[in-house]
This record gives sequence, structure tokens and C-alpha cells, in this order.
Amino acid sequence: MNNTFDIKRFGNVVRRDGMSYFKNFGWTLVVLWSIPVIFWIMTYVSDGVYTNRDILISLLMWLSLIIVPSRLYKDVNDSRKGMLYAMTPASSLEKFLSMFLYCVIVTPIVYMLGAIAIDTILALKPGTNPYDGFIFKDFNGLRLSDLVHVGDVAMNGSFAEHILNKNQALINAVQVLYVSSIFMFTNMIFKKRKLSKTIGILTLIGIILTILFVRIVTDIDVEFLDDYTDEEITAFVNKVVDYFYYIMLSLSVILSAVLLYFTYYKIKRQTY
Amino acid sequence: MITINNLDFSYKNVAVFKNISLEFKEGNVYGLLGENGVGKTTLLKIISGLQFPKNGTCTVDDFIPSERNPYFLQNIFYLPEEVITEDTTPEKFINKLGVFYPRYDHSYFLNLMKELEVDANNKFNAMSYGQKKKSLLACALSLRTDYLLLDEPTNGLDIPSKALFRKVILQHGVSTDHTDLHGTTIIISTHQVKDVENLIDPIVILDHDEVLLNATFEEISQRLYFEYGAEKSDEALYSEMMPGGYINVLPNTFNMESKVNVEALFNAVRCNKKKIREIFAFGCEL
Repeated sequence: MNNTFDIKRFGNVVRRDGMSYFKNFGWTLVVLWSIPVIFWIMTYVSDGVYTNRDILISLLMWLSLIIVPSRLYKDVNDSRKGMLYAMTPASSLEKFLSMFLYCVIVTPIVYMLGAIAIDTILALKPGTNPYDGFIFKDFNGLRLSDLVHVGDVAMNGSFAEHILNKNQALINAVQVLYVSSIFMFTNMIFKKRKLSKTIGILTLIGIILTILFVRIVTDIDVEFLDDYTDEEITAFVNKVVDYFYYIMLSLSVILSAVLLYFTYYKIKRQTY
Repeated sequence: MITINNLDFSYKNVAVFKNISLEFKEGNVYGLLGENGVGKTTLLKIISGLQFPKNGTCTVDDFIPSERNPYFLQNIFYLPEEVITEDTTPEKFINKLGVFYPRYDHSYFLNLMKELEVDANNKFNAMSYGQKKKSLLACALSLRTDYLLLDEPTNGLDIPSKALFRKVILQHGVSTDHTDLHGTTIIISTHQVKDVENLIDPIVILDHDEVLLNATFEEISQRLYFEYGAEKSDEALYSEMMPGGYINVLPNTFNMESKVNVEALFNAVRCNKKKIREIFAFGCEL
């Protein structure tokens, strides 16, 4: 008797969740897949060239990650509708792992595969085509940093070369994990308007952090920099940026782990 | 066996149970009665692991429900009063649910659906409230769990459906030799005592902070006498006018057998809490 994890039981939970995956999330996927198509049509009609489409697909992939917990598991903390979920004869760990599987692993893969497939089909159109080749040949998306620093040089010279290019897969995984864990957790906390509440809270935290950051930066006495050469300052800034990203990466991993643990805990201790 | 010991429960600051102790033995169909708001649904939720006691213990066999052990969950099913179903058919619903229950019997489910006169391939959304309830009852019974908790199962059922409900529950009791040792323990929480009068035995009557009664029909008829007469008795614990006279509930000091009227019993217990407790604790000599 294994109370915590049994592969057959886990398989049943995965199967059960999978059976409702396309039913509950299918239309959202269709809408998210169709957005690049709309952009393609608009560019085609205006006879233009459509660049940076990998960034649009990345953005929509992040959107799918944000939406999926509240679509697939919206009722699990509902005092009436969630009872069947709680009574399902599987351990809390098995239920959590299945949730993790669909929210963190399956959704980005399904969305990206579908989006790249659609993009490829559109790129195959002979004659005038807004696309200038296949996306999978030169895909540069997925990175949250790219979405923030489109066309920016902020990443050059330090972390971008040193870390991002080297550990891109790891950073992508951490970013996916971090974003998913936030929305999985808030899906278990909030009963209604889960997405808007989460986005509202994140915006509020963002504003508070920005105010704090600005205050700290403006309070720093920069006169001591006069004693250093430009090269020394650049090296120092690059080092700070490196450390900052290391810290942010570690913090993301730690926060993800904490949020995922609390998601598991909520599944285990949710009352109905 | 379900054992509840010194259980306390409250919703925020509103106490529901204060130090109640209770046992439900295997293989019986219990009737859980009580006024609105005494905590019948809460008790069923605690037993099924959907609510957690604040103090005290609740165990089902050797399991603690609040731990939601998968082996415990395989052996218990709680059917809530309010019917909430997905946009699917009973057939698809039970196929999705049944894989988790080792004793789930699909042919039994189909037989029950036939018996309850509901189409298993009709969508829940296209069904009436009563049809949904009957479909879910068939689903719940076909899982063949050791413990089945039914919350107001006859609410919303028409008269023929209530008869069908009684029939399938009685048949289920007979057909539950799957457990080898004992049959299914069914706890039916209800206000509609007449609907389940010939079905339930023993009877548990809950009050706000205590168990007023937990006795079999045999024990009840040993302790109380249900007199059907033309006149109201002055010694009666409870009297109620009925067509053709009165029903009087009296302490059975004369050791005579009578047919238990559950509704009259419930009212007698409700109106004479202390006296009833004494009668069942010490006998009628008091």
C-alpha cells in the first residue's frame, strides 16, 4: 500500500485531467493560436513583411501559461463544485503532480507545437508572403527578457553573453516554472476572478518594488564614482548585473518552490 | 466502523458540534435526522474528509478522514444534496470516476440506471433535477464503496422516484456481499423522514451540540411505545393529531411492542431531550 504515490493512480488522475484538458482549455488554445494568423492576414492585406513573430508567439505562450490553471482547475477550491476533486481516490501529491504536468509542461509544449505548426503552414504559402522563412529555423522567443527588452541593448555585454546564451534552456525553464507557480498558487487561493486578482496583486507588487528601487537609486551618493575610470565603472556595473541576475534566478527558483509547496498544501488541506 | 470521539467543530465563531461522540456500525442503513442547521451535512463532510474537526477525532475503520488517504477515499462516497454536474452524460461521468474505485461495477450501474428509469446517455444538462439525482445515486451505488453518505437524497424526487430510491437502496443492502465481511454502511441525512421510514435502522438524531439519539428500531420500540388512539394521552412525551385520532409517544413502561413512527419519534425527542436521554440511558423505570 502506497499512500503517497502510486503510478497507476497517478496515471488515472493524469488521464482524468487530460480528458477535460481540451474541453476546458481547447477554445482558449484556439483563440491564442489564431492571433498570429490574424496578424499574418493583416500584414498580408497591407502587403508588408511580418518580423518578430517569434516574440508574439512567445507572448501568447506566456499568456496560455497564465490562463491555464484557472481554466483547468477553476473549481478545485469551490466549496460545492470542488468536492468531487477532493474525494477522488488519489493522494494530494498525485493530484498536485498532474496539475503541475498540465500547467507547467503540457501547456507550453502544446501551445508552442501548435503555434509553430500553424506558422509553418502559413510560411508555406507560395507567392507574396508576409513571412520570410520558417520560424523554427531562427526561433529566438520564449525569453521573458526578450519581451521586456525588445530591441534594447540592456542585456549586451554582461549576463546576456555570459549566462543567457549559455544557460538559455535553464532560464526558460525557471521562467516558465516561476510564472506557472504564481498562477497555480493564486488559482488555489482565490475563488472568483482569479486572473484579474492575481494580475492586480502582481501589478501592485511591481509598483511598490519600482518605487522602492527608484528611492534607493536616487538616495545613492554617486560622487564616489568620480574616483574610478569609465572602464572600471562598466566592469563594476556588469558585475552587479551578473549578480543581480544570479540573485533573481535563485530567487525565482526559491519562490517557485515555495509557491508550488503551498499549492500542494492547499490541495491537501482545502475544506469544502 | 465510523467512530467519532469528543468532536468539536465550528464555522469561524459559530459552534456546530461541541464534544459529540458517536458510532456508526458496519452494514447498517443509518438515518441521520435533525433540525435545520444542526450540522447533519457538516457531520457527513467530516466523515468523508471534506471538513476537518477542530478538536476530537473521527476515524473510519483505521483511517483519519482529514488525511484523505487514497485507500480511505476508495471506500467512501459522499453524495451532496445539491446536484452539480458537468456538461456530460452519466455514462461518461461514471467512466471517468469509476477507474478510481477498485470495486466499481459498470453493469451494476447500467442496471441501476434502467431500474431508476434514466437514460445513461442523456446529458445531465438535459435532465430534470430528479433525474440528475437518480443518475448520481446510480453512480454512487455502482462504485460499491464500503461507506455511502447520502445528503437529502429524496429531495426533489417525485413519489414514484422515491419508491424506486427505497427499492434500490434495499437491493443494494442485499447485494453488498462484495466486502466479504459486511455490507455497505449507508448514512442518509434527511428531513423527509417519511421517505426513508422503512429503510433506515438505526436512527441518529442530532441536536446543535449533542447526539440526542442513536438507537435501532428494536431499542426504540423497547423504550418507547407508539400508541395510535382516539384520544390524546396526558402521559405522552409527544402527541400529534392524525386522521382518525392521535399518535401518542409514551415511555414503554408496559413492555409492549409497537410500530415506530419516525416522524413522531423525532418530534418526541426534540421536545423531551433530557427525558429521552434518561429513558435510553437507564430505561423506563425513571
